Amino acid sequence: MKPNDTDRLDAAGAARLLEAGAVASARADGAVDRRVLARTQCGIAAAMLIYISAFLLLFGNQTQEAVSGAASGGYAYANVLLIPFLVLTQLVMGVRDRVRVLRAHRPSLVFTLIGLIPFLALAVLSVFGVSYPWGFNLVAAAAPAVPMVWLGLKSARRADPPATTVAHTEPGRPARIMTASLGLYLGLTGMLAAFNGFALTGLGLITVLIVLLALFSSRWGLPSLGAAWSTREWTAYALSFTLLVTLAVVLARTPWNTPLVGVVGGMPVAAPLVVAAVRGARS
Amino acid sequence: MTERRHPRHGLDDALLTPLRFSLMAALGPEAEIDFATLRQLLETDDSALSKAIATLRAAGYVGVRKGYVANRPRTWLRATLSGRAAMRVHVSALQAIAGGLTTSAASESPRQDG
Repeated sequence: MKPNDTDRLDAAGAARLLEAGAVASARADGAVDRRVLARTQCGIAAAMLIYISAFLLLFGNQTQEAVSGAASGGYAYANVLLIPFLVLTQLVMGVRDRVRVLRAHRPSLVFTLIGLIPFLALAVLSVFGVSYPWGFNLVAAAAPAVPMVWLGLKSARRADPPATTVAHTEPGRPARIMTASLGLYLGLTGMLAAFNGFALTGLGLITVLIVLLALFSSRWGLPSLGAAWSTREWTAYALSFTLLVTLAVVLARTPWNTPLVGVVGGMPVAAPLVVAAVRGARS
Repeated sequence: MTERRHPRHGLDDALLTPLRFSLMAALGPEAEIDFATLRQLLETDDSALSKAIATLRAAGYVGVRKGYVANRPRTWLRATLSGRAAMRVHVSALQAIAGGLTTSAASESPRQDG
């Protein structure tokens, strides 16, 4: 642009630019697929509800002795809960990436952050050994999830279908390999949680997770995998997620904390994703 | 006493072409749009869009994120904080010029509504 171009802009030219900008803005707004964004938001809300409920069930309102002595893992069981949740947040990034036009929904973010305050407050009370009514756990679990679901559904109800939708294809070979590997990783996490020394092996599993998170922008990254998944793989992940969290609760809060239970419990955790990957290869 | 200035002083050279201005308008304050969709929305071609993005990146007005979707590379763009601020000032100046108005130097702050 030449330096004197600003001097040549008259009222008509300025009006034309403003008009072009308004048209571009309206088109971008029309291309936002709010239904997909709402679905991902509801999925995250459900996962958050399960994660916080399980976390508080394991560690909330418990004495230090009860937690550190919970089976053999104690606080290391937090890893078993954290791993599938962090993996999910990365996978969901891939779904959001597929919709082509992303729009941040600030009220959701604000409500979620405010909704996390009760959970953090209960976590602090638990760390300091202060007891509280059991029902507070339910409130803390629902506080971030309910507004997310409500705002997501509200946004989806108002939304028109997007002008352009992206066709979905079957996951390719790299995605299927990653899907099966992810299933085995989650299954192994569940199995190892039942063995002595999980505090140490849990660190190894977290290291694997960090490597996975570091690969987020590559074709082997979790967002790329999430973008490739169809309903079959998402259903499988929801099953694996729920089974792994359930296994963590069983191992930490019941006397069935034996390697046998871990191995037997870990296999169903891995199975849904491995089966989904194999079925994807056959179809 | 506030000095009165012609609104053209609020215009930003980087945002003066229709394509670059429309690109920033499409991104808005909180959208992230992939390259192919932007090309479609703005009814332009790869070359012109790449040049516009290069200029806006050089000015620090857009940020670029690269990734993969279903094993295919994809590039997303979003407006940076300085890009949003520049856009607000630029839009105010355009509105003033289009309305035949003059604005005061004091009102040309990034806090203006665009």
